[in-house]
Parts: sequence; structure tokens; C-alpha cells
Amino acid sequence: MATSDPVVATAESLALQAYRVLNCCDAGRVDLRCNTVGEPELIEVNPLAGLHPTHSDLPMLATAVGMPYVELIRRIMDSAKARVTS
Amino acid sequence: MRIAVLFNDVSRELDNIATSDVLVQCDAVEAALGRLGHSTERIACSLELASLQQSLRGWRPDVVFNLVESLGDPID
Repeated sequence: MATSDPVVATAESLALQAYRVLNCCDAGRVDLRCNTVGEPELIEVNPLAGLHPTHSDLPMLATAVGMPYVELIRRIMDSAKARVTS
Repeated sequence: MRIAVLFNDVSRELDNIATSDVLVQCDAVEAALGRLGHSTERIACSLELASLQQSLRGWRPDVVFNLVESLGDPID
């Protein structure tokens, strides 16, 4: 999703870099926090994020952007299929 | 596809929020996979890996959907 917010853009870029350098795949969650001058910094990478439909962060974030739970699971499956058939 | 949903074996744990969370998570993932047209089998995982291997070889899934976050007892 495109953003015009530079802090969000930095956070997205940092999260993807961390995820990719650790060779994570399919679905996970990267936690960041802004420092005292508003710069996103990495806290941790969760390569196996919880999938409780109502109180795990990844499904909650998906819901917040309008992605139903079944769509989240479908995208995880599609990513895995693309990875193992490539 | 045939999908094996692996989860932490909670059979020996007392009823608590963490245990019910594991099972609710399994229910939700299986329901979603079912809506997507897949057949699923739920397989509990512990440190008895030979048993896990036997279960997987017996059911022969196309894909494993891993929900196992840890094996064995937590370190106190």
C-alpha cells in the first residue's frame, strides 16, 4: 500500500529489509518503534506470527486494512505455493 | 490440497488462556483453509518427533501449515 507519510515509508522499508535479510517467508510480523526523534527502529522479527483471529497482531492488522481473515490465510497459502513450485 | 495443520501439543496442560488460544487458532486456520477448498488434518506436535514423522507419513499432506511456536516445556 502506497503511503505519503515518510515515517511510515521508512518503517515499511526497514521491516521488509529485516524480513528479507533473515530469509523469512510467507507470513510474519516485524515490530518497530520510533525513537525519540521519530525514526523507526527495529525491535524484533516474528517469523511465525500468531494467527488467533481476534487477538493476534497480524490478523488484527489485516482486519484494520480491510483484509478478512480467510484472505490473510489465502495469501499465506499462495505465497507458500509460489515458493515451493518455483 | 491436503493440508496438515501442526500445533503445539497442549494435551498435558491445564486449561488456561494459552491452551485455549492454541486451539482457537487451529480452529480458525482450519476453517479458513476449508473455505478455500482444502482438506485439513490437525496434528499435535511435541518432542516425540518420531510420532510426528509417522503421522505425516501416514496422512501424506501436500502442505504443512505450521503453527508450532515451541516444543517441550518452557524454561522457568
